Amino acid sequence: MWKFLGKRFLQMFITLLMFQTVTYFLMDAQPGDIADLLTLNPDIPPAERERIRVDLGLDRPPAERFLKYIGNFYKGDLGVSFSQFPRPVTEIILERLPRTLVLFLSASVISFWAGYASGKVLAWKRGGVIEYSSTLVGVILYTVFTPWFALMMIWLFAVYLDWLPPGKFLDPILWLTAPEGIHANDVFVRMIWSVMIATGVMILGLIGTQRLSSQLRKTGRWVSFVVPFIGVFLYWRFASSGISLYAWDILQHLVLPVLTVTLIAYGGTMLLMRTSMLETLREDYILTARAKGMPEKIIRDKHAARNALLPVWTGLVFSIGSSLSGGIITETIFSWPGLGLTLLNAAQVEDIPLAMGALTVTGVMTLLSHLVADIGYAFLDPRIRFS
Amino acid sequence: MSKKFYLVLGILVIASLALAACAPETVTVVETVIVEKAGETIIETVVVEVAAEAPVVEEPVAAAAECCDAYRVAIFEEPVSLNYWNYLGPGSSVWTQYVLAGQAPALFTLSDKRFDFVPSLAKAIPEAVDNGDGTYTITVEMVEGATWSDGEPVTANDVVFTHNACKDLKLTQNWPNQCSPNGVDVTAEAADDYTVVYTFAEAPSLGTWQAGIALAPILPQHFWADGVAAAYVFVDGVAAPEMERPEDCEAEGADADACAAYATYDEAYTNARTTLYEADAAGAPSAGGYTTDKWEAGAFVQRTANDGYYFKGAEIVEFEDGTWSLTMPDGTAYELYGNAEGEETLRYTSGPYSPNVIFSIYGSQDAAFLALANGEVDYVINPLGLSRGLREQAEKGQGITTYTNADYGMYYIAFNMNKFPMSNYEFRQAADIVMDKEFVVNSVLGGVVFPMYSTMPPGNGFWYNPDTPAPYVGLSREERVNMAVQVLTDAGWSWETAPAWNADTEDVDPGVGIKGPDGQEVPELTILGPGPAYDPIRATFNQWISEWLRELGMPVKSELTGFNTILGPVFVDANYDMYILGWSLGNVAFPSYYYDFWHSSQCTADTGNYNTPCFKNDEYDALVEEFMSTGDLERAQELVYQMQVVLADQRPYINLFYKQTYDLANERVVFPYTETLGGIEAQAGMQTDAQVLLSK
Repeated sequence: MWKFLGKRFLQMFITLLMFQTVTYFLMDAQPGDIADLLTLNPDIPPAERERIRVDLGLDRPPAERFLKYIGNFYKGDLGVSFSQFPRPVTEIILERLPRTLVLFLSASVISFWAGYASGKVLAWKRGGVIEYSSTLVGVILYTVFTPWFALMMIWLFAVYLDWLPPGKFLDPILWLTAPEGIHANDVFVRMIWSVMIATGVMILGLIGTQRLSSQLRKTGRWVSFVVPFIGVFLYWRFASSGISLYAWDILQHLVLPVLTVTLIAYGGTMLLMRTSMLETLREDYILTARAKGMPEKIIRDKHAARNALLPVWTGLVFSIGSSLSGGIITETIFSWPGLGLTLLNAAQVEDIPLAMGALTVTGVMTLLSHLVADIGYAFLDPRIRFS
Repeated sequence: MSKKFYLVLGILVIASLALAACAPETVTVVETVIVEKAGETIIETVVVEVAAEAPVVEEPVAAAAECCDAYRVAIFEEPVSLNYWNYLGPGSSVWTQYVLAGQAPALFTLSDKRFDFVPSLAKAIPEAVDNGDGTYTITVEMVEGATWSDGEPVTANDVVFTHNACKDLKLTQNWPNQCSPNGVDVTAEAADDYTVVYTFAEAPSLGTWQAGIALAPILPQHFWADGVAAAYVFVDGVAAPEMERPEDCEAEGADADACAAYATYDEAYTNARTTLYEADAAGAPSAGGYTTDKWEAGAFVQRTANDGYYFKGAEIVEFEDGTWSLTMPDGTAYELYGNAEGEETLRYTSGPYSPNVIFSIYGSQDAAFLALANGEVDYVINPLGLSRGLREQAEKGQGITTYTNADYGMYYIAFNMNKFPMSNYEFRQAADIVMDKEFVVNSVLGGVVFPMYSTMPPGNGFWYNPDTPAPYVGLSREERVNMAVQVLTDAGWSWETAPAWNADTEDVDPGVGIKGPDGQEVPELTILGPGPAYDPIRATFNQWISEWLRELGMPVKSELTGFNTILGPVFVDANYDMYILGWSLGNVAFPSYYYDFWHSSQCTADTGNYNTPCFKNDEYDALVEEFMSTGDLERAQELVYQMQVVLADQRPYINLFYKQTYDLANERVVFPYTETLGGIEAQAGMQTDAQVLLSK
C-alpha cells in the first residue's frame, strides 16, 4: 500500500510539473500581455509603460520567468497577482477555494447519492412508466444547455416564485450591520468545519456501532446522529459570536446554485448507474443469487449495485477534480465568486500568476481525485489490489 | 435504514443551522448602569448578557420627507484595492474608481454639465506669475473649514504631502501626471495652513496646470504619514547613479558597473513603491460625500455618508450663458464664466443623501441587469457598453428608466503611414470616399450608433468644430465609386480593368490589376479589427470597408480577431496595414489626445507611443505644440478647431462612428441631472448627489 502510494505521488509530481510547464507556456504564448492592457492609456508616460513591464518581470524571456515561477512555486510562493496587484495569489486562492468547494462538493455528493439510488431502482424495475419518464428526464438534464438551464432556474425560483435569492452568496443589505471583523469567508469556513465535524462524528458513530447487537446498534446510531446535530445547534446558537444569521443568509444563497448543479450532474449519474446496473443484472452471479433464493433487496443492493457502482464512482471523483475549473459558467451566472470565475477573469487579462495558481489547484485536485478513485476501487471491488 | 438515515441526517444538519440562525441570541455587551450600593447611588460599568435583537437595517437619515434609502449599485468586477496610492498606480481600474469616487479632494474640479474649470477646495482661480528666471509661480488660497471624515482639517500640508510623495517616490502609472505632468518639474510648498505655492519650471499650460496639477488628488497626511515614511526608508540617501543608464544590460559589452548601480537604484524605488501600494487603507478618511469603509471580497463594497462633507447643502446652478455658480450653506457664493443670464440649465443641492452606497458585485453583466430588473439594485454602473437585447430585457423590469447620452469616445480606422499604399494621400482619400458610413450605420446597423466625421465627438461642444469638412455625406454608391476612381486616376494610379459602375446590375464591376502611382504593385492588405463576439459594430464596419476597397481593386481582407491579438501588431510592433479600434477620450476639458495620437514625436514605430499611424505633418505639429503649451483657453479652442480640419484632410485616422451610452436605473433614483457627456456612468453613478426615494 505505502509503496503504491509512494510511486503514485512521484508520478503525480512529474505529471504536475509537466502540466505546469505546458500550461505556463500556453498562457504566455497568448498575444500581448497584461502590461499592454494596463498601459493602454495615453496619459501614462512612455517611461511608465516600460517600468510596469519591468516591475511585473515581463521584460525577461519566458523561459527565465518560468524557471523563476516554478522555483518560487515549490517554495510555496505563488507570486503576486498582476490584475489585483499587489495581492498574493495564495491569498486570493484561499479566499475563493472554499466557496467553490462548498458549491461543487455539495452538488457532487447530493447528485451522486440521488443518481446512484434512483439509477439502481430504475434498472431493477425496468420497463415501467416511471423508468421511461425518469430516463427521459435524465437525458434532458444530462444534455441541457447549462447557461440556459441556470437562467431558467433563476427565473423560476427567484423571479417568478420569489422563493430564493437569484445570485451572489450573501445579501449586502443584511451584511451592512454585520459585527466588526466578521467577514463572509470566516462564516463560510466555520460552516464547512461544523458540517464536516458533525458528519465525521456521525460516521465514526456508525462505524463504532457496527459490531454491536441489533438493539444496541439501533440506539447507538441514533445517539451518534442526534449528538452531532445537537452539537451543531448548540455551536451556532451559543458559540458562534452572533454570526448565525449571516450563516443562514449564505445557506439561503447556496440553495439555488447547488440545486442547479445537482440537477445537471444528477442526470448523468442516474443514467450511468442505470446502464451499469442493467449490465450487471445480466451477470451469472445475479442469476445464481436468485437461484439460491436470496431476498431481492440483498441481490439488488449487495450483489448488483455494488458492482455497478465502479464507473459511477469514477465519474464522481473525477468530476470533483474538474469542477474547480469547470464551474466557470455556474459561478458566472450565479455571481458566485469562486475559483472558476477567478480563473476566467485572470485568463482574460493575462494575469499569468493568478491563472497559473488557479490552474495548478485544479491540476492538483484532479491528480488527487485519480488517486482517491484508485484507492476507492480497491475498497469497492475486492478483486482489485494495490500493486 | 442507511438511506433514510443519511437523508434525515443531512436534513437535520442543515436544519440545525437554520434553527440556530432563527433563534434569538445572547450577546455580551458592556453597559453603564446605575446601581444602589450600601445606600449610595454609583455609576458602574458592568458586563451583562442580554438578548440581542435581530440586526435591523439602519434607518436612513432623512434629508427630505421621502429621502433617502441606501443607494444600491451593481458592478460586475471587484475593485482591485481601496488604497488610493495603488488605485492611481498599478491597481488602476475603473471598478476601483467607482468605489473610491470623490474620496480624495482636489483644489479644482470640472463643472457638472459643461466641464468648465472651477474651484473646489481653492477659493478662486489664481493667475500664474512669471518669476523672470524661467520659472512661474501659482499661489492657491484654500478654503478653511473643509475636513476629512475623521474631523481633521484638509490643509495645504496635505496637498504638499501628496505632491511630494508622488515625486519623491517616483510613483508609477497615473501618478506622474498628478505631480509632474508632461515631465514638467513642479514644486509645491505650504506657505501657511491654507496656502499652497506651486513653482513651475516652465510656463504653466492647460495640460500642466488646469488638466494636471490643479486636478491632482489630495490625500490625508495624518493618516498616510506612517505608510509613506515606511516607503521613504527604502530611498532615503539613495542617489541616482552618475553614469548614464545603459540601454540594454543583457547586451555584450554593457557597462557592468552602471548596470549594477541602476539595478540597486531601481530596486530601492520599486521596494518603496510596493510598500506604499501594499499599505493597509482600512479606515482611510475621505473628504468626499462618502467614505469607503467595508469591502466583502466577491460580494459588496459599502460606502457610508460623510456627514462632514464640506459641500453638503451647497447649491450648484448653471445658466445658458455658461455661468457656473456655487452657493455654500453659509451663504458664501462663487460665480464664474458669465452673468447668470438666460435659462437655468442646472440646479441642484449637493448631498450626500443616502446613508450608504452599496456596490454589489455580480459575476457578469447579465446577472447585474437581471438584478436591476428584479429590484435587487437601483442602478447598474456599466462601463462596457450594452447590447440591445440585454437593455430591452432589463427595461421590462418594473420602474426601470433608461437615460441616453452621447459617449465621449470615437471609433476609427487607422492607416499605417509607414507602408504603401497607406502612405499615399489619395489612397486614404479614396478610402474615405467609398466608406459609406451612413449606409452601414442606418441601413445595416439600424441606427444603434452615429456616423462621425471629426476627431472630436460632437458631444464635447466646447472643442467640437462643427465646420470640420465632411464632403462625402449623402453621395450615392455610384458617385462614390466614380469619385474615388477619379481621385486615384488623377494621382497616377492605374488598373488593367478600372472599376466601374454597372447600371444594369446596379453594382460595381471591381477593378482588376491595380497599380500605384509609380507602377508599384499593391501588396495584400489586412484590416485588423475585433471579431463580432467582442464588438459586432466594428466587425461589420471592417467587412464593409474591405468589400468597398476590393471593389476599387485593392487586395484587402478583413482579419477579425481578439482584442489582445490586435494590441501587439498595433501598439508594440507597429507592423500592420490598417486596423479598426476605438478610444475612450479621457479628460473632456483638455483633449491632450491630439498630441498623443498624432504628433510626430509620438510615432509608435519610433518611440512606442500612441501615434500608431506614424502621422508626421509639420503644420499639425506646430498647431498641437502650441495647443499643449498655451494657457489661453480661447486660443486652445481655435487650435483644436484647426487640428480637426487638418486631420480630416490628412486622414491618419478616418473616424467611423460614436456611440451612445445607456444608463438604466430604477425610477426611485433621482439624479441631479441626466444629460451629460459620457452618461451617468462617467460620473460614477452620481453617488453624492443622487437621491434614492423611500416612497416608491
